[in-house]
Amino acid sequence: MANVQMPRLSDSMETGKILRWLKKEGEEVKKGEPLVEIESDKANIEVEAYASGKLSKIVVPEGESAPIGAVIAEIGGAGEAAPKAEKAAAPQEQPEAAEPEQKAKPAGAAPTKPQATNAQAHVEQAEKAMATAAKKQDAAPEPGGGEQYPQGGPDDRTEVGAAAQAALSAIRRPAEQQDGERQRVSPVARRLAEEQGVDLSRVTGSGPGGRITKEDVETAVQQAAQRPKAAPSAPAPAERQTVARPKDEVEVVELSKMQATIAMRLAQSMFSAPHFYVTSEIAMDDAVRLRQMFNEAVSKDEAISINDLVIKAVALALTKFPEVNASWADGRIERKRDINVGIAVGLPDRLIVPVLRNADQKSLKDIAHESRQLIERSRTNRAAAQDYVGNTFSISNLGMYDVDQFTAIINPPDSGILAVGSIEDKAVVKDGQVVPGKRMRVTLSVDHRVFYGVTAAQFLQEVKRLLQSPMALVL
Amino acid sequence: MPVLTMRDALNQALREEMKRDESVFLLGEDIGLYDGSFKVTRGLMKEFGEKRVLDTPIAEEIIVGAAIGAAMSGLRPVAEMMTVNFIMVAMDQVVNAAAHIRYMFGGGTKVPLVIRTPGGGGHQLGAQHSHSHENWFAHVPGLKVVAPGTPADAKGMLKSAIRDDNPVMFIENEGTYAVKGEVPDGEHLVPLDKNDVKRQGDDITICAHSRMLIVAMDAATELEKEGISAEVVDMRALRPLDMMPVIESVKKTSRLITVEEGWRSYGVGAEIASRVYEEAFDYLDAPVARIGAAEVPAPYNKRLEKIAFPGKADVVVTAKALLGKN
Repeated sequence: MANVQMPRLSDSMETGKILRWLKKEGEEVKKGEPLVEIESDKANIEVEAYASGKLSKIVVPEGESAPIGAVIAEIGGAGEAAPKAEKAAAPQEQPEAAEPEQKAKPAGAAPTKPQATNAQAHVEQAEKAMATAAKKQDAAPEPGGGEQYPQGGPDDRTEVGAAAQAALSAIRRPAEQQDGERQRVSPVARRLAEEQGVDLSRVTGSGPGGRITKEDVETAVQQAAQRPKAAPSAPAPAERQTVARPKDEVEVVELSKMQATIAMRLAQSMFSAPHFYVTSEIAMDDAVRLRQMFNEAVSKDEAISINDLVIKAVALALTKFPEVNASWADGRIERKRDINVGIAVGLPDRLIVPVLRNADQKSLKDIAHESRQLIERSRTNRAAAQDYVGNTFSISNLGMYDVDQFTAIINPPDSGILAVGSIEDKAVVKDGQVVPGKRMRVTLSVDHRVFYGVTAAQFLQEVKRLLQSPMALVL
Repeated sequence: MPVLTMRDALNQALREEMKRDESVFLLGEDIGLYDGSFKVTRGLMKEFGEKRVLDTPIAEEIIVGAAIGAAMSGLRPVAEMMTVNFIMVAMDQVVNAAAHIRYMFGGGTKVPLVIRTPGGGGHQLGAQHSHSHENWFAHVPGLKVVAPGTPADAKGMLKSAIRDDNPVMFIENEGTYAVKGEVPDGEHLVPLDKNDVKRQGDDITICAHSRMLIVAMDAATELEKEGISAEVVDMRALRPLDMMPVIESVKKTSRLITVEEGWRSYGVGAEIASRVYEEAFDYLDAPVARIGAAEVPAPYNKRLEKIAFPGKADVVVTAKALLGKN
């Protein structure tokens, strides 16, 4: 038996009015036959019966209205007494064989056949059900995997269901947050950036909430690689390698993560920033004397080094040359407000550049104290990540290794680095006399995109002036 | 190679193992005269007789308890639970007995037992017949848990499970019994502890087991049309959980979606995601996305049921979201 419900005849319809019953109570109705005429808010429509049987009861008489879904009549099976109206329709769509007979069948669904009295009949019934189910499957294999889910219907839902909502809200959540403080970087992007020496602060994230993704870093690396065309002028290494050596004569040294980063960053700097070099010889007699006097006056812990004097001189010179304290930033120049001096610290297996912040504002004593701590932390691997960032200019000093002079590769994002050689005792001409003097050669490497030769020379002159009149450094 | 339904592949595995080893026997509700609720045991009582195919009362605790006793005494029982939802009354036997006995007896006895049982919903059978509980068992040391999604794996893993000396939870799915696939004839064994890449791809990894494997494969086909290359890893071995193919895949794709038919909370995807965070954190480009059933008792209503269980659309949309494409 089946209930006839008030159908929804238009989107805006709420109730429908029964205009005319086309069948009388007790009359036989066939599925598809016109059954009732209903007036909706839009039109009068003839509604067909969707079940066959006797029209056992008309619940809503002609002229009356009922809401959508309300039972307006009942159609019973042939000869069947009309059951109660509220009972649900039998689940006809359920495949018989798929259902665990004993436990799954709703209590109300009585078998259409008398209960099997013995096991054989039971088996026969099951076989018949199986055959029916199999026929259904074969008859109507639905496209797109329908046949794969004969029991549950095809996987044809095209909208997102409840199943993926939680996952999607987790993925999309960052987009709703506006967190300007912390840069979002995926783990793989962070690792790649570290390995490839990519400055994440220059990368724009394309992921949800501006997260920097692997692809963003790869794009940044590619762009960096495309910029430089200049091939190194060194003799082509390929030629030297044409004489193949037996493999076992070569010791392959795998790079540590940090060594790989150093290699990448220096190559990137050398091949993207057009370097030029300016060298100057500085009379260090007064600086050496000042250092001696200073160190005699303070305890051993507070002693200053020549390098500390150079740091201070450079920092003070930078205050006068903001064009040197600057970075190349993709077609623009960024002048930095802070003066943070990187100090290259060479170790057997790596090169690191801890950063002394606001060096221009610090006293020589503080610079000495801080640089000693930074260098110590770096050597013992205890430096924090922030010890290595923020440099605006760097100094590389090989003076203690007895070198006359050398050139250094700019430490990104700086646009200049000062390479400091040893202080040598030299015969110098002073007031027409040859006298002994202490001389130190420094070489400034310049990113030619950021500033030019004259500025470089003037900056170097200022450094020289400060070191030759070192009292300016202690003031 | 012959094409069989999952149902027939399982039937073939049972028949072959019963022929091969006469200590193998079956017990469960309606598995004999009625050929099983899902017809997996069709014809076996006729072929092997009532002593090797036992129709039992509706008493899951007794079925499992009897099977454990038989296994300890040297037989190789294959017990059928009509659906995994009904095993709750036998959990004491499964966890406290089957899983722990070999350990507690210091190896003095073993429990070569297989419990076959289907999970899964989507057939309007309501909240007491539609759930997936493989994660409950995968939580327990001492159990092996497998959940194949293709007929060939179903056959090969069931044969391996029957030959294994430990209790194996063999999770089937009501929605896959009619799925067809090529199944090797005769001796075809699939290990219980190896997951498997079922489709190669570069952009995103989808891992799924049982019926969700089919959903994942369909989603991958759909994604391909949109230029997204998805790798699908079949997580058929849930305990011990073989993570190797997933880790390898994530190292390649950097993005992972887990799909399961059960609830997300404390689920299979949660375990997989944790292991990926532990073993491949530095390779991830996005958080792991977990898709699972809505956190409600399975609805009876057809439309509600349809949106409560994961489907192809869920996987496709989530994949695109993870790739930032929608």
